[in-house]
Amino acid sequence: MFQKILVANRGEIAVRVLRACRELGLQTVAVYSDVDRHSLHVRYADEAYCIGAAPPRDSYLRADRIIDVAKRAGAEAIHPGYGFLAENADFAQACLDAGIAFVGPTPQAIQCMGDKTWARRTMIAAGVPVVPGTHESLTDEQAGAEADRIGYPVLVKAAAGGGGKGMRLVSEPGDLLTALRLARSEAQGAFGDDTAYLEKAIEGARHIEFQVLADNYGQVVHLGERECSIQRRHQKLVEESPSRAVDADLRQRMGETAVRAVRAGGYTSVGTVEFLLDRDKKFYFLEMNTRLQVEHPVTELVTGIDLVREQLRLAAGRHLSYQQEDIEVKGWALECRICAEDPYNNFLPSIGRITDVYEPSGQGIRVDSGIFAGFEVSIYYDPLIAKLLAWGETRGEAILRMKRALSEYKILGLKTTIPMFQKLMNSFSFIGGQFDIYFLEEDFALRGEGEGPQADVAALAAAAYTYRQRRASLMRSLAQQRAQASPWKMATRAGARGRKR
Amino acid sequence: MKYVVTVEGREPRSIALWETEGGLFAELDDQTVRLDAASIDGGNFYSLLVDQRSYEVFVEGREGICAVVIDGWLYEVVVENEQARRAQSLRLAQAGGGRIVVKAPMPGLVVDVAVSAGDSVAAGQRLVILEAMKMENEIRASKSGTVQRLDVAVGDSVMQGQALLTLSEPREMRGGA
Repeated sequence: MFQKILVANRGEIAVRVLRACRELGLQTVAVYSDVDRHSLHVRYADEAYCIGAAPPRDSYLRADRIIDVAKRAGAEAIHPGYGFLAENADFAQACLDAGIAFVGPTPQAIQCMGDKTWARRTMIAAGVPVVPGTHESLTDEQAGAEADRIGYPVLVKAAAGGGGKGMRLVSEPGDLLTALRLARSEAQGAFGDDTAYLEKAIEGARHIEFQVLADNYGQVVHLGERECSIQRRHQKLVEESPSRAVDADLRQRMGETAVRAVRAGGYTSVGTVEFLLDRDKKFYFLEMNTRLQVEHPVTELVTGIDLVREQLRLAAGRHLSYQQEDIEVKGWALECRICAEDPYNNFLPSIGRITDVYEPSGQGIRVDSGIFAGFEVSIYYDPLIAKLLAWGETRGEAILRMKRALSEYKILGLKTTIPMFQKLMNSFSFIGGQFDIYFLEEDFALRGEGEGPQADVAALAAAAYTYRQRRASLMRSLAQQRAQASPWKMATRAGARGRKR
Repeated sequence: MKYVVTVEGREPRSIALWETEGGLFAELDDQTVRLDAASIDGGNFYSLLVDQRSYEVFVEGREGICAVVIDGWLYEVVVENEQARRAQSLRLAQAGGGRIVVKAPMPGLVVDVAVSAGDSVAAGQRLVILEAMKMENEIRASKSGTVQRLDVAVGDSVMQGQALLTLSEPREMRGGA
């Protein structure tokens, strides 16, 4: 095993990785941008190095500086977390060239799986079902004809994309070229590659993904599925494991297919194979994520396996410590991604200082967080500030526990997605497991029926607040008038009296 | 003091508030309760006792439009002074709608301006795209109208609350309150 690990990330995921390192007794190195000086990961690590200014391209994306710090600090391995450099094959290669282990798959595997068109071709060759679509980069003229062939609605996707960036849903031919242009510009900005392709949008689809572990010696296991159908703009907001849509037989077939996909891609380390599941329980390979994912803790809660520890062990060249039959899924886990966004104002980023935080805890609750009272949410980074997880013996128990935890969770100073989750956990469709990847945007009402149960208390609180506020401002203006007026009046009066005398 | 309170756009209700030596009292639906609000953080986060019932409540707001969070649920509450409410509806009926200044809801970079001065826009139409936190955020028209003035161009960095453009409401829309 390694002695010292550098974590090339920030926020909750950096803290998550540092925790696993500490449990393994490893020395840790954090890197940070100048606005992150006070961040939790800087404080948690054994050593910390500033690597530049706030914009990611000047710090968290500076592969050269990160590798330089690793050498200076004597770290033998770099954990990239998710986002930033996690799926950058050049960075993984640069680590290896510098004699540093990259905690993740090989540069070749990242390269191949990251190229969605390559991945599609490989999966088709391996007999893994894929979503109908084009698998080459497209000119505008070709796109029109191809979209007609596949049939609308279609998805425009960036070949180098991920996390919903560079992705657009197009329902009518008239919107295709605009969507292509937007997807290309977003992909160019985010990934430096504007290659785009088309895929059929499957109606009523659910997003089901399989967590996999693979060692360097051909051993591959899957840890069951996660359902991530609650999405907005293709960004996952709620994840759970297992899924209401997957029974034992389907789980076995999808799991075997996921393992086949991993072998076909020559993949090692921790990874995720994403599928779409249609209404007829037919599933299609979407893509493989060659990183630890945001939602990995739901799998940890139901399997008891620490994925970061496994990832570190695999990077150190250890054999997988589990056979498929050792993997047991117990109970149900849910995750809500707490984002600094205002769900009631078109999810606009909420930027500013967190004045206070009260985190939920207690039986079955896990919080992976990067925030604290005084933390500044800046425009430079992802709005995800914390992940709230609940485990229960059944899905119903997990939902009740999540509701309880959401009611305890208080993040003061800015807007978060907590109220939306509270509403979601109370919606019949969610409780009944009746949703698809379009549910949140198309069918879920943020406002309207099923309002919160304390409307009367809210009315009283708002009235009392307004009453006090107006009285305070009245007092202030009275005091001001007195302060301004009285010295003059007093002086004049005194003067007048004086003269009279 | 008498207020008309509207929670989440539902039926407005009347709340009377008065203070005595015994504290702050409220009357809602013919029921009188004592309100004891203790700020926990010296700011907007309160432990609220309604008689003996205990709640944790976050309240913030300006000019009578409050956001209240209880148990993770958000309530938008409009609080109007009963007299002011009457005067207001009279004023609205006489005068007219007028102008809407569209402001940046967060700091960011203007990456697209989809309208020009003089354009008429429909409610929900995209006006400006602001980039912040790696995402492009569409700023849309809250009402239909005409673009009276553009205050930003592509490439501008804007502060939160900075004016992006001004819409004027069409004449026939005015006065409807």
